[in-house]
Amino acid sequence: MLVFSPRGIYCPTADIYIDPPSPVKRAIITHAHSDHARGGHAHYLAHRHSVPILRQRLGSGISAQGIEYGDSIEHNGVRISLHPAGHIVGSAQVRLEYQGEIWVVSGDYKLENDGISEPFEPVHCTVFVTESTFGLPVYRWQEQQEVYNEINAWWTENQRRGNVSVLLCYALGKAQRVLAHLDRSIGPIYAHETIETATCVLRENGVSLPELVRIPGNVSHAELQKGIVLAPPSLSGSPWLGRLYPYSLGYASGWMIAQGARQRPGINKGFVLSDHADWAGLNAAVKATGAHRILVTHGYAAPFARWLRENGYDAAEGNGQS
Amino acid sequence: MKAIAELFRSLDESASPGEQAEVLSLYLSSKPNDERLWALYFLSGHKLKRHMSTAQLKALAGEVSGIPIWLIDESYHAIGDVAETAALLLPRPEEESTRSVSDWMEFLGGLPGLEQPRRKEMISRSWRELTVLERVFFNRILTGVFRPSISRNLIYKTLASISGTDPAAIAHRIQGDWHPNKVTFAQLTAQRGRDNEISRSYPFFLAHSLAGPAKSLGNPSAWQAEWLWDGIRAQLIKRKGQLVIWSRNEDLLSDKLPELMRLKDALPDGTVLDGEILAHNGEMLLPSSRLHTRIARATLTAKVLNEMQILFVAFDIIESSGQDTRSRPLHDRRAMLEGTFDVVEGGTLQLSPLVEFDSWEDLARKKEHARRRGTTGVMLKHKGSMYQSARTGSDWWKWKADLFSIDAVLVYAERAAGRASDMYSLFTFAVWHNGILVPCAKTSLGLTDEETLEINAFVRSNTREKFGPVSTVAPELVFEIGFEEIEYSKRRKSGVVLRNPRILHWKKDMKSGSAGTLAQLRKLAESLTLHSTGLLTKR
Repeated sequence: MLVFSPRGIYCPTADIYIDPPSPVKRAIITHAHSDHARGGHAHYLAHRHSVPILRQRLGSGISAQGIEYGDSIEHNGVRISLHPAGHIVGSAQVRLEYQGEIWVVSGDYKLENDGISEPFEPVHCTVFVTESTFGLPVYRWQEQQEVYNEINAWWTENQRRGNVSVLLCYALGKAQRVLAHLDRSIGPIYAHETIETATCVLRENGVSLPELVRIPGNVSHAELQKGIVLAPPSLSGSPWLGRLYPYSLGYASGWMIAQGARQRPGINKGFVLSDHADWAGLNAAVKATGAHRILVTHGYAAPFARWLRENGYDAAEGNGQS
Repeated sequence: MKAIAELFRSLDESASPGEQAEVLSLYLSSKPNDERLWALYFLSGHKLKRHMSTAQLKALAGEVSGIPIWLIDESYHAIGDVAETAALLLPRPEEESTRSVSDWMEFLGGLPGLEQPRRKEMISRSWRELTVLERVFFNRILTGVFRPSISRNLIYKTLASISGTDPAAIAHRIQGDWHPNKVTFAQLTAQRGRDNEISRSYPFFLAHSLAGPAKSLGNPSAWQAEWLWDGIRAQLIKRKGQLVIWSRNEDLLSDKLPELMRLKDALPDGTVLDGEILAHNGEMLLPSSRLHTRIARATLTAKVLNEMQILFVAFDIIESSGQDTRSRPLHDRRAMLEGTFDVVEGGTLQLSPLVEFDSWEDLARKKEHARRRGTTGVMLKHKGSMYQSARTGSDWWKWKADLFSIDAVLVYAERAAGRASDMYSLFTFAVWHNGILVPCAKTSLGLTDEETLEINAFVRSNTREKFGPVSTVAPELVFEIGFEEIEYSKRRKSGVVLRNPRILHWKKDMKSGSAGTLAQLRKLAESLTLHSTGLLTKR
């Protein structure tokens, strides 16, 4: 039902692409991160909560249709519906049904409930197309509350030493997840404008999130030292960051599980916090679909597919014809 | 074992030596005796008997976790460290151990006496009660693979500031033969006499790099020039019939360099020479990296000893007939040095040759040939200078020669193992040979963060093929690659190897067709006249 082409995952019957990298006529967008949601498509279909973010990022003039989880629409006899993926607000798995065959494309997903996104729901299917960003057995996350405790303790310690706490995290999703779990009794929360903008868009979608103050603004350095600053990872090493000196630089990402990553120049502290499924999560998700045929994309596709084959699945990398 | 495991992690992840010193100092002044001693024992390079190879560790971790070896290998590539990979993929601990570090070390010490199946069972049982952090530490002890990131010097300085004892005395004691079960922390750091008098070294006089023009130094005839060697700076100390070798990093090298220990009889008692340890193969000087590799070896087999020859180039004498000569002017010390031993041409102990020059322009020309002689530039010393402590004053200057360079094309980009695996950070560059591009250098050095991001964007949209973490990219970007040395190598397709390459400049205007050629590199390698330093005599 689906083919994997250089232009993206494609359903010829419905003539529709999923997260295509280059402009097409009709695109289903699993979630609004820029590597999945590119500009230039003639028509976008996404979850209702993704649409305002798409408009903010790609332009208010795009033609976009937002639907609820579980609602279905039909194209040339293919029934298409979206289901919660738990990755970020509005993230969706795409279910396609045609003549009794059911395919599910996971998009990016995680199994834990982060308190902001609609939690992941397994969808029964014939063929499951799964991501594998962290598809190796060394990637296993600790309880998220432990990580939030670590972040709050680090913030307190920086305050004691008179350093500004700067936490690098993706502007859409991770930043709000962290924001919702910071201990606000410690001090004020500041953010770079890209994070503030994304947070406002989510609030307009009805997500309830704590206050944060956009910087630079009328904030003295003494006030900053009491607070925590959320900034996108691309600012690492930038003059923007330099103005906050002296600071301690933290990074919240699943990659931080490896010491080699935590030792990256400039990073003082790594927090293992991911919006992707870990090894146990990927295996559990695959099992819960009931599918026998598994196609693996995005990440450690080759080793994860081989692991699944050795465990009795009909699994392959999702890049050839299927 | 949590505290010591956490100490090692904090030291490895500290952003600066200052932070490391703070972490170590806090640990050493707050933990119990055994915790402190075991930490110092491992930090100073002592090891327990190795219990298993990294291959055996992987196999056992595979057995316990049910993960196949091929998948452990894939994981290792992502993490970059076997001890850490095994620690991460084992099931989470069932209950956490509260045993002390000495209990654990005693347990580890008893393992070699056990039968293989019993030993495996004991290790896997230990894993079940250790956290990931503790397992990393435990696995490093099992495999004997310890690379503490804190410098020895910083350890000695920290101990000295805690105890008030002279760092050199501490260094000597810590590097000696001791065991945490047989001494106390107080004994190890106490101010004692005698035991270190014979081997006490002097603080090294270090030079800054010359930033401005040489002309600013004034009259050239007031200055002495020597080659700037690429070896290991060291002091040879001969007192009371004993010879001791200390490196600039406060490592005791006596056991590592039997070739130099044979010089014991060539030097009179009460002599300290400052100079450079160099390695050569009879024909040319070898880069210091080769010397460091040899010194890092635990045992010196005949094969290792035959791989290279060692010599010591003396350039200063700071103790003569038992008297400290550091306050005498350099021209006096040079005369004393020349009178101290008989120079044997091509021998193990040699005088650092002077580079004659009559003007700064003349010396600048000679400096530009320095790399062709296996040296890295020239060293300038004021003839009237005293031998000072540490890096002070303006009497000694390093004047480095420019790097060799070639324009080369980016052909592969690699996500380095264990690094933030979403970024390409290691790049391979190639030069032209008969119409194809032949790789000649691989490096991650020299790019700004912005350039790295820009290249990453290019790689992502111009990848031709992928092999694991390596992407073959369209050959379009040209960079000027600098390197310190060039050597022949049969193992490489190009036939030459560039030492210490780094990216000097992104040549955004240059088309890849105009990049350098292998013929240029080979011509350079042929032109290197390494004998002209005068140290090696051709037979």
